[in-house]
Amino acid sequence: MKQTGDSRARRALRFIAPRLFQFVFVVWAAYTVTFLLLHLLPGDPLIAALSVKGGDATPTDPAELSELRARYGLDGSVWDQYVTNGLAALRGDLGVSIATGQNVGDMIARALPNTAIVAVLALLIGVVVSLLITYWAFVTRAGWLRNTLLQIPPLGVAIPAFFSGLVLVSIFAYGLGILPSSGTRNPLSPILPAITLAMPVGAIFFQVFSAAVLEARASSYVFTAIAKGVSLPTLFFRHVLRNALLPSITILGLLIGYLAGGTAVVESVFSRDGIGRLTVDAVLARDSNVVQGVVIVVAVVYSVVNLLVDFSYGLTDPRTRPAALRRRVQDARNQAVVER
Amino acid sequence: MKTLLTRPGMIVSALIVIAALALTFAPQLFATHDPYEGIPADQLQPPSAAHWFGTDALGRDLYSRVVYGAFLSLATAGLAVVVGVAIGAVVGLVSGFIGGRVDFVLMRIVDVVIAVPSILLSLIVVAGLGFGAVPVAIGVGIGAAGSFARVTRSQVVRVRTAEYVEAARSMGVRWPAILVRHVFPNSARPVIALAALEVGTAILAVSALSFLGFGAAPPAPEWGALVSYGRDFLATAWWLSVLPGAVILVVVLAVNRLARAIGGER
Amino acid sequence: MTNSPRRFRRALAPLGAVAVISLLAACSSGGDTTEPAAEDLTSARDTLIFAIKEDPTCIDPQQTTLTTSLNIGRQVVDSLVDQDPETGEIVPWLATEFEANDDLTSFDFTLRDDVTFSDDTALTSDVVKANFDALFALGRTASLASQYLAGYTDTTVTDDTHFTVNFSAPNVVFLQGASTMTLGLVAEASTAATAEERCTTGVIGSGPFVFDSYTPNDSVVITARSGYDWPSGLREHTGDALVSTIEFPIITENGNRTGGLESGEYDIIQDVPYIDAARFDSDDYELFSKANTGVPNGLIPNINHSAVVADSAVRHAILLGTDRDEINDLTGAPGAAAASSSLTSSTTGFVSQGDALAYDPDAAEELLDDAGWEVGSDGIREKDGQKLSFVVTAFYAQDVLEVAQMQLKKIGIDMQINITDAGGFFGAIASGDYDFLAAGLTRTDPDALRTVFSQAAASKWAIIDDADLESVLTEQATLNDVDARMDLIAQAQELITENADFIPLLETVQLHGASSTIEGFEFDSASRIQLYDVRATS
Repeated sequence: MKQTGDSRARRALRFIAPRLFQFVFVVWAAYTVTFLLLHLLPGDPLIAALSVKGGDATPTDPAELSELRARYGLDGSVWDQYVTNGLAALRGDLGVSIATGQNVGDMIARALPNTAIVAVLALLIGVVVSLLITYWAFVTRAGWLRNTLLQIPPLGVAIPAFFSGLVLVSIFAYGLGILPSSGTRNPLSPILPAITLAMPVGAIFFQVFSAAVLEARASSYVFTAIAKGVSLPTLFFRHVLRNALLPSITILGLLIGYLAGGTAVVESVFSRDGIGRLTVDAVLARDSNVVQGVVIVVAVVYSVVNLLVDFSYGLTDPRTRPAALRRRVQDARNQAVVER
Repeated sequence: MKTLLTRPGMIVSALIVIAALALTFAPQLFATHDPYEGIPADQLQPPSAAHWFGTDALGRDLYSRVVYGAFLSLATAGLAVVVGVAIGAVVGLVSGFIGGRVDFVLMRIVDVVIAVPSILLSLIVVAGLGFGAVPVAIGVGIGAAGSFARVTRSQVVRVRTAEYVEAARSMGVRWPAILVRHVFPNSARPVIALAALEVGTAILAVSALSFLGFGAAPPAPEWGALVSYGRDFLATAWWLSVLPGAVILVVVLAVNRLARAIGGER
Repeated sequence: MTNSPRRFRRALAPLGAVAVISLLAACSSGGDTTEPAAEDLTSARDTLIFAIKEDPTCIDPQQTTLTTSLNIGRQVVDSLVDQDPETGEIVPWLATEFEANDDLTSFDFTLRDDVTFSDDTALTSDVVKANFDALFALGRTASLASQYLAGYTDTTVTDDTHFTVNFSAPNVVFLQGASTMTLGLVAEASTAATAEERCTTGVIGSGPFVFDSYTPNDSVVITARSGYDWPSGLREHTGDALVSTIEFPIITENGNRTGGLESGEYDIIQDVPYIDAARFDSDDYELFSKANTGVPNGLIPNINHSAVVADSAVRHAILLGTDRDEINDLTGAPGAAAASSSLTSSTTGFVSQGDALAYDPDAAEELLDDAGWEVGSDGIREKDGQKLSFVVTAFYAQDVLEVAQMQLKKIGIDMQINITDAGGFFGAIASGDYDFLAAGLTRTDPDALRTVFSQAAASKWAIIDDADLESVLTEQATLNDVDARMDLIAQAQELITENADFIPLLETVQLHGASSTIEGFEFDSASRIQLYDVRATS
């Protein structure tokens, strides 16, 4: 008894340790890569950031600038800044925005819920719609209908989010007046941004999911089951759905990154506060502390989600190799479903 | 070839891509007006026989601007893919070929590049290099390089351990020769397929960055910038955003369709 | 009605006087703000939604220079004096009397004695001193304030209500600056707070509203304060503000704001795109517009950076080859005046240079021909292998530049546009790396000319070689005599036109929209907004 417990613990450790290491590495490297990009590339973060507040009275006198540079601690060597900022980040202190003087951690904490609600809603809409369309394609006997339905995801992937957002807002907010166009004041305000974002995100999920489902449809056991008189809907819900969902969950981690990126455009179109707009504004102001903070937070979120996905796999079925599977799914996304 | 002809969608896609390429390299053959010269009296006219896509607030012909914008949008996207493939291929080749610790370290870095959303990565690069078409292309390319590195590496590893390579090796053929003669040609195919797909993604990414205001300098009619410009006119001149947006959509659809065919023919 | 303080003041004001600093009228009417309002003003709704176009970034009115933020800050702080937007006259507000000495180096003030801040502390001379001392110490962190306080030495407190502000050199902009929210007064607790704290949590003012919340990138909320009783005489009523809450959601997309105004999501919106003005030209909406004061949007040269720009013939050709009327028609606000000088037509001291600036492409081409710029094969002129090409660096008003670009192309000039962000723009100024800047400078006082064109100014915008202009600009800043000073301002505008030191393009107009149920929306003299009287009718 004791021995098996021991070996189980050891096995768990062997399972967890490299993943934890990977987690730490991703976050550290994300910090380092961003830091290098921001600090070794040309461009003066100080003036850019000052002009946000200074407007047409922004100081441009060299003497004044060097004085301000010293005040904001931007005058040390790059290496000093790297170490100081890195250690501070470890303590959870992401520094202060040069442009706004606000605490970067606070800024992100404030923007994150707005983005999260849109992202989660988009994911839900994307997944549910994918399930419905796949189900329809699964049960239909009309080949042309199935083919048509399967043409939907390429469309979703090809629509520029800024374009679909503008169209949606024109129709539902200005045309019909049933949904709010912008901002975060109205509780219904996340709906249009979420739908906009759901199109590409749902399409990617759909590709992986429908591929798995239709693969199952062509398999011999389904063929046998149909011959035995099992109805297609029963088959779908009893057998196919579960098996197809499992690999699809793996793609969630990947979608997180996609969602985080997609919000940059969507939040601009809908004038919402959120991580995406925060990033765009920070990049415009070359506010390196904020950009770095966002990258660290996104990398942590991405890594945590992938850790959770890995663990849930490890718990349910120790034989699965989530990392390999995820990689496969990722390649599948890259190839955006090879035509079958 | 037979499959191509039996699919009308494929023919249409091919025609669209050919048309887009024609616009890219010979816009003067297709434009009906000077894309930069406005006729103030013709300000904000809806689509008509004279102005197929209507005109903007300065009286410029939108159709001609879209035609001339093709070069910016598509060449920038093309450059982005080239950058992505080049970086990805080098990293993937080195990683897959040398293996061991180098492979481990490089692949972990690739993990990181993939962990940071590509638009964020592109934004950081653009922030550093300044605004414009080339920085945007480099930014988007770096954002895409991770996937290319991964695919290249897996192909290299597959080919390297293949029997004929082993055989060539045992016959005393040197590594550089093996690389050029066997590994390159045999691992190129999936990379090309992925690159074809990446073109569509890159067009979207480039236009998104232009939409956000990081792209080519005005009055360059980059497609994303055209949609962005039209935002203020949604209620008064819908065509200014909708038509360029629709053009992006159609071209990306067609490019993706062809790309999937390239991938599927394996 | 006849007793309305507003009417009273208008009657007193010298008609058409260019009286920015007419100190004579100053002491005449202290304390008239206690007069009861002529009519009882009320609002049908307690909460108004005012969609703004950008994140205020820093909500401290003393530090920020962003119009959006100043507009909100204006509601929270009061100033020593106010300025009549129609006559330019400086009138009492928190100070009942004020006077400057002859060489503009010291200013005496007498305060009202009944003013309190929203933390219930009283306004005294010591608090004013603490304000100016702290603000001056902030230096360029509060860049606009530091221009108003240039040369500040100290504030001498005589007693609780009397004090003198001293400068080491003549300060021609201080008194007008004292009417802005930039020199608006905050409680002693706020003067002691750090610059960053004040930016994020706001300041404690004596104004009719107090900051309720600021969620960066999302919204600002201000609420009315009860017991407020010291508005400037320029306002319509006295007592508390008429609405209890004003929410300012930050809606960055122009289309979202105009769409939201139409759908009733917003009561008032900032910056209606000019092109949409016609859409809101109906009984359901009201548009409020006011031309910016200061230097209009235009091309500001750097003659050290490019031989093309240094060539006076080229600059003159650009001046004649740009059609300001067409620019205004295509990109300006409806009904706005075309730019016609280096000051905007709404600025005190403006003198139209319209004749010298009339569009004359033939004359421009002749100038270029004479100067040896020959039309090349590509339609662009060149001389000794050098193309007649230059780059304009800007961070807004791209459409204005595109029209100018189209016009200049017709006479063989290749104007390239480099649209960057604010950071890139000021970075270019700091490094001197630009051919032309394209921008305007919004200031109420014509001293804006000195900020842009003086080679001694810390701002370093225009790099020109014009000794006459330099001495005129320097001298006007030392004069207390309004007429003599305005003569010099007129002279400066002529010199700038004569040497083509500036190519005016467009007068920017603040254009805000509201539902027609909104009343009492007013601009102050600096084209910022006053919401004290704002209310909704049913």
